[in-house]
Amino acid sequence: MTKRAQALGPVVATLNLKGGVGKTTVSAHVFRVVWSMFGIPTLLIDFDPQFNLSQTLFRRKHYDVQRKAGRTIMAVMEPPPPTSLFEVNTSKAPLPDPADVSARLWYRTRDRAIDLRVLPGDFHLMKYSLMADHRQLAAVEARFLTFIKKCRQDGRITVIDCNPSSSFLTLCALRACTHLLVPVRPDRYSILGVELLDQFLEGMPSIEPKPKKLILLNGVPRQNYEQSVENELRSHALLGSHTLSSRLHQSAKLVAKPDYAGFATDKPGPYKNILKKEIESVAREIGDELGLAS
Amino acid sequence: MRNCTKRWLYLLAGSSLSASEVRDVCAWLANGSVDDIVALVMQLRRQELGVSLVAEEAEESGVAPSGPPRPAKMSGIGQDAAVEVARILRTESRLSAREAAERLAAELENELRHQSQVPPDIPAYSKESFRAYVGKLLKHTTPRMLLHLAHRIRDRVVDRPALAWPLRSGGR
Repeated sequence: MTKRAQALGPVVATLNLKGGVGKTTVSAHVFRVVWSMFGIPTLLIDFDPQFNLSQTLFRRKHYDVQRKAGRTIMAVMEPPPPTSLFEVNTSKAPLPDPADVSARLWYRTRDRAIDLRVLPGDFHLMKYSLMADHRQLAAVEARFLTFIKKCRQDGRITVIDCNPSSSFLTLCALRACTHLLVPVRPDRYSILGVELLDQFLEGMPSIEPKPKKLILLNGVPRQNYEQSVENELRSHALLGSHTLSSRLHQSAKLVAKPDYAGFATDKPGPYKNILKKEIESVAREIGDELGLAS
Repeated sequence: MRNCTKRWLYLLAGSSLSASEVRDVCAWLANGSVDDIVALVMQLRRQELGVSLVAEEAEESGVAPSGPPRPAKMSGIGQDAAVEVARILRTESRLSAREAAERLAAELENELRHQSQVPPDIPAYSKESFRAYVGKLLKHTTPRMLLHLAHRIRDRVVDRPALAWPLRSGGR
């Protein structure tokens, strides 16, 4: 990696056009470990109108405080005050600082200046999928891209947890990212989703340079695993060499629990260390790909 | 059926081995001496942490290994990838260590040439364990690339069951 690229932090969009493949799981739990392993400031952006990442990491009470204070992704997309679901504020108000709109997660590291932050999601993102006014959408996109540039300037890792549908938000994320992390389950619907995403990306001349693809097999059964789908993916001329060698197995600890908000590896309980080791292996491989040094 | 046989069958049933892999295990057991197999099982039991290393040595030499397992020289990711590459080329594709190594090196050389146009300096295989050789190749590429190449070689050697929805562009 060049010095310039090191100064500008990587931007990873976690994306797959198929739902339920573990995008939010990977964005949260894997990058929490990337952050602690490499000691680099990390910002997790919840870029999905369903804001599952925020629900994974915050209790509702905490999320509502953030939202009331205007500290959600909507503060990035449009200047305050908030508009209705049918309007866009395209005024030229200054962009917020990443630290001002995100919530810091207070975990101890050797250096407390190295922080892990979450920019909460917002249901209002949905409105961009309903709009047809390209001029207004272009203004929103330009604001988002400028914000991401700002995030990269201090070398932090920025992770964009995307929604599954192909929408305006998908385009914004693809234009902003340097790396595309595609979680995929070892089933035929999911790998076809990767193929379609690849075709979608190759067919978008406006996205140049193309982000570097990394495919992560997620939710691999621990027993009675039928490997034919994984074999198909790993043999593929265009996708095989992008598929990370580390995989994430099915784990009950990665399933959202009704009574717990936070990172899976921080919750005590059985099998925690097995999961942690597995996530560390994925995190190390991703770190190598991002050019991070521990 | 005796109780211990039943337990052994349950262990196999609970593993992720495919039918052809179970067949391989049975063939391996049938060819080995009872004393060697018992010694190997006892050793595996004692050295829980060295399971994969001991298993590979046994696979390559055909006899029970002796002495403590050698320390791992590769990173965890590299080691896991090496074990998987060995499984694909040695067990699934039934290639000898030399043949597997030579095919893998040739694929890698092609791939690197294709990427950089500079002839890479890939080490030749000498008398060493296949996994150690994979470790040498990992100095020239990533674990994911080696896995991809191993899958590509396997596809040329062994027929895979056809999928109802194979991937389109360049899957096979």
